[in-house]
Order: sequence, then C-alpha cells, then structure tokens
Amino acid sequence: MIFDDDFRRRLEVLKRLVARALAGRGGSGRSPVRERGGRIEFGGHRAYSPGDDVRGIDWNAYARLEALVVKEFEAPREAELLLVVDRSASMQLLRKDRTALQLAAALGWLGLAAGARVACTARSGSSAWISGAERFAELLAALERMPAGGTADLVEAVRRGPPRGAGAAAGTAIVISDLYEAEPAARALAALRRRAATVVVAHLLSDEELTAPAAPALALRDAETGAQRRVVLSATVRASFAREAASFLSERASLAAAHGAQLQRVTPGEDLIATVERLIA
Amino acid sequence: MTLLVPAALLGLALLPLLWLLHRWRNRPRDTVWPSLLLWTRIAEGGGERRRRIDLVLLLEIAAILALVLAASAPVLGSRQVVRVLVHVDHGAHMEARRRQGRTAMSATRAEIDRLRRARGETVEVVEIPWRGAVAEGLIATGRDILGGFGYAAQGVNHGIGAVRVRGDRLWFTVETDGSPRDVTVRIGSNERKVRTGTGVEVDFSPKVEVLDADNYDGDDVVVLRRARPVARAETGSTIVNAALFRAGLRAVSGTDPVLIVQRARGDIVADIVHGRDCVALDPLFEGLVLDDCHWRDVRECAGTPALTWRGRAIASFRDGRLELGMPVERAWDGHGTLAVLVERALHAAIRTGLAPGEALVGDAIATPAPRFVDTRGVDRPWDGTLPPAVREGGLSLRAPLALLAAAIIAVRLLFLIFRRAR
Repeated sequence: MIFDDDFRRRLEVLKRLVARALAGRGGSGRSPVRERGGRIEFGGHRAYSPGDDVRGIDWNAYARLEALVVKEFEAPREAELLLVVDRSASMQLLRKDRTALQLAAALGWLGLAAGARVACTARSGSSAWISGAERFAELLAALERMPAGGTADLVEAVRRGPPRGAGAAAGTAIVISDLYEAEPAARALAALRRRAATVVVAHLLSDEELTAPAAPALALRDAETGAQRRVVLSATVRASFAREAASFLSERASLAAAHGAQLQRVTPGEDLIATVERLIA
Repeated sequence: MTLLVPAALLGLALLPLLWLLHRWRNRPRDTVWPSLLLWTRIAEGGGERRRRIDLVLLLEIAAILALVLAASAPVLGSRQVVRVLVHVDHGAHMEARRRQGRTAMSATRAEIDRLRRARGETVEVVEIPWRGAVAEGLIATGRDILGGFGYAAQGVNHGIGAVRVRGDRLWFTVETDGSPRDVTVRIGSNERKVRTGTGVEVDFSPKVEVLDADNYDGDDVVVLRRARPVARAETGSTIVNAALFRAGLRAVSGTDPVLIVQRARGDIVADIVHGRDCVALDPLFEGLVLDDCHWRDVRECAGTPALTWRGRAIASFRDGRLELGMPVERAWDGHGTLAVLVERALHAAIRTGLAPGEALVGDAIATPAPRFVDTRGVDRPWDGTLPPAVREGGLSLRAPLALLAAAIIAVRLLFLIFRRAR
C-alpha cells in the first residue's frame, strides 16, 4: 500500500507546516487576491465606448488625459500543477515507484491546498484537473490508477496531460523520473517549458543503482528492455562505474538546466517532508 | 632435488577442484537492473577489460603447491645409501682353511666385496669385528631368542651358557657339567648368586657376567668356566641366537640393516637389531643345532676323547692329530682350526642325520662360498635383497615449504577478513 499510515502521518505534518506558514502571511488558505470594483484583478484602461457602465469611468485618468477611459478588471486565473510521474519498469525497482507516488501525492496536496488545480500524468494514463483540497482523495486514486511498467516515455506522458485551462495562469510542472533516457527527457522538458512557467525535475535514483554491487560477477538484465549483459566486477570496473554514475548525474543536471528546469536529486528513503521542501524551495 | 615421498604429489589433483570451486564462487549473479545505460558506457569506454587473474585464486594455488611440495619431502643434495653392517667373526676359526685353499675369513671378505660391487646403489659395508658375545638390545618382539655363545678368539674360553630372551626379559642358565653349584653373576651392575642349571629371569641387561668364571674376556654375556664346557641350544622355528655384540662396538642404529658374518656353531645371531632385520652370513655353516654336544679343550685331550657326542667319542687326539673318526681332507693348524673342524664335522653329521663318524666331514669342511642366511623369518637362504636404501645428508626443504604454505594461507585469510569487513 503506497499511501499508508506512515505517508498520511507525514502528510499531516506537511499540512501543519503549510497551515503555519499561511497563517503567518494571513488569509484563509487560498491565495490572496486583490479585490477591486467587484472584480478581482485590475486589468488596465480602455477608451470609453457608448454603452459602457459610467461607473467604470476612471475620472482621475480623465483629469490627466482629458479623455474618457474605463477601468477593466480580470477574473482571477487559477494556477496549475502538473505532476508528470515516470512509472516505467526501471522505476519499479529499489523502492523508487513508491517514493515517486508519495512525492507526487504530497506535492499534489500542497498544490490543492494552495488553491491550484492539480493533475497527474504518466505514459499510460492521466487524470483530469482536480481543484480543492477536499478532492485530494481523487488525486490519490488517480495516482494509483496509473499503470506501471513498460518503458519510460516522458514525451507521451506530457502529451497525455490534461490541456491547460483557458485563462489559466502559467503553472508548475514537476517531473518525477530516473531520467535514464536523455533524448525523451529533453523533449519532454521542452514541451513542459512551453506550457508551464516553472519546471522542476525530481531526479529519483536509488544509491544502489549508482554503486556497483559487491558480487564478483553479474548477469544483468535491463528492467525495461530485457537486454542482458555479463559483467565481471573487477576493481577497475567498479571504479569506472562510479565515474559513469557521477557523469550521468551531472549530465542530467545539465540537461535540466538547458531546458530551464530545476533539478533536484531525490533518493528513496529520504524524509518526505525534507524532499518536498527542497523541491518547492 | 629428490622427493622422499613422491606419492604426495597426488595432492596436485586438488588444483582442478580448486579451479572448479573458484568458478562456482565467481559465477555471475542474475540481477535485474533499472537500466544498463551505465554498464554499457563502461564497456564502450574500455573500462570493462578482460578480467585479470584473481589474486585470491593465485594465492590458493600457491598454497596448495607449497603444501604438496612440502608433503613430498624434497631434499637437495642427498644421497641414497644402503648401509649394511657386516659383523665378521674374527675368531681364530675363521682362519680355517677350506678345500679351495682359502680361509673362511678370505672367503668372507670376498663375499663382502662382491656385495659391494653387485648393488647399483651406494652400499656401505661396514665391517665390525666380532669376537665376543654380548647381547645388547637385541630383542625380537614377542619372540624368544635363544643364544648360545661362541668362544673367544683365543679359543680358551669355552664357557657356554644359554640365554633366552623372552620379550624384554632375559632368561638364562649357567651351566656346568659338574654338580650344581652357586655362581656369582653380575647382571648389569648388580651381583647375585645363581644356581647353575637353574633358569634365572631378569630384566634385560646388556651384560650378564658370571663372575666366578675366569678365563673369559669379560664381554661375554654369560660365561661359564668349567672344566668341560657344555653347549646347550634349542631349535626353534627360527634358528637364532641372541645377537652378540661386543660392548664398545659401534652402536647399531635402529635403521641399519645388519649382516652377520660368523662361524655359526648353532649360534645364528639374532635376526633383530633394535627391531630391524639382519642377515647372517655364515661362511662355514648354516644354522645348526647342537644337541648334547660336549667337547673338551683339546689341550686336555691327549689320548682321551676330545669330543664326544651323546656319549660317543667322535674325535680323539692321537699323536698330535685329531682323529675325527671320519675322513679329513685337510690338515689343521692351531686350536681354533681344530675346533672349527671338529664342530663342522659334528654339525654336518647332525644336520644330515648321520651318526658321527660317517663320511660327511669332507663335505662339511669344503663348504662352498659363504652363504648368507636370512634369519628374518625362517631359516632360509638369503635371497640377496637388502633393506631399502635410506636418504642421508642433503638439505630438507620440507620445513621451509611448510612455512611458505602457512604464510600464504595467512595472507589468504587476511584477504577473506578484509573482504568481509568491506
């Protein structure tokens, strides 16, 4: 069970932290908005046209400009949080999938609590936008429903995501993946950059997969492709593997930066609260 | 280099087993990995080179090689020796002339020389003059050794006793042809009175001396001085007697085989030397039995029977000649020779079952070349085999190789501990 009692306890802690933070800033927990003239957002001036409500005429502007102008107010735009979760076969090992789903759920709750609408998407399925913290359970259900296995295809995951709402504010996309495939990851990030103002990558990797095992020899099988390889683990091979692992991490960080995304390394077993704090910092 | 235990090389059969164990230990573990990306990049970068030889395997191979070599007991610079001690009786009787004109001693020496030449390996023939009669540490385990003693070279000691060794205890009698009497006997360093004709059993001592007797050289185990010596012997399944070594002879080691050369007068020396077999070379006689043989010092004969057997005179001195009552082909000279001739005649007669006086002495005198008598088990002619050669000298490499093996094993264990700690 992914969203077990321990997860819910951590989530309660997160809720209290968020509530404390919001209480310090004032407000009810929804994002503070400016209210003016019955409308929510001041959207600028336009020339008076016959038939416009005279109460909207900005007399101060008339005094300055000696022209009749009316104020315009915009309806408030709801922020969006898209959670792109990699549920490929490589993510099913070493507790990565559990970590990914719990992290996505925690981030989703934060988004809902902040008044944003949240959706989750993967290669094989996605959810609709969900608004309101009271609908958090729907988000959990959507996360659990997303099929696991197969190859990673972040591009398809992004494509499957629900379309942006009309008038919706540029939101945030959070990608949770091990990013083994560089080219698809790059295309996915580029696509996300076009629809989200902020892209954060949670590069989820277990320490075990970045360290050569202690066995003298291995008959390896790729979890996604099924490809096989025999490896004799000499000291040279171990050292080479460590170098390649470090290089891999560096390359992915560069890849994310190149697409305007922030990348944070996440390790299964980390404290959930600490991980969320790092990601939203 | 010589391997004293070449069979130990069979231990090399462990090497294939070691290799199989190594292969099994290092078999690849089936592992599902999230992605082979990093492993592929290692191979492409040349990081996955051909595996070098496992140092641990090398250590284990070296340890086995060192252990096997140590077990095979290699020796550098040693030589193989068959050491044969030849006890040559230097009694006067050994100068008895034989049909071919050679004396028993010369025939004996010729046989020894032949022995030296005949063997391919190094044979050391050490001649030990043997004149006396001292039983010394010659005990057949579980076997009785009956010993009678030859007389000293001078031929003046006619004391004869019987020593029977039972296990590790000595049983002897002091004999006399007179009335039983008490004689003082020194057994080892203790003196005690012993009744003649009575068996006395004591802890084995290298020397038992009858102190009442004189006219002996003091080295005899049992010396009986009496007017007329009495010989008493018994036959057993093996005609043996206590091996007699004069005190002061070179000590016979437990590993040296012994050839005994003596004129056997029914006294085949013990076939056990510190538990090892020996071979008796009898130039004149094979092992014989004396039975109720009484003879007298020829100086006392002078017309009286010099030698009687079972009450019958078989030899007498007449006009300075010993008449044996049987044809004698050769003359004699000196007491020793006379005694030899007489005894030979007697023995031949007894052996063949002929009554003394019948014509076999000539054959007995003309004994063929010395015959080695193998007394190790049964009284049979020696087949010429010698005990196995022994290695002597040289530098043994067993200990250094064993130490090397121990050091390698210690290093291997350190590897094991280090790996587990890591």
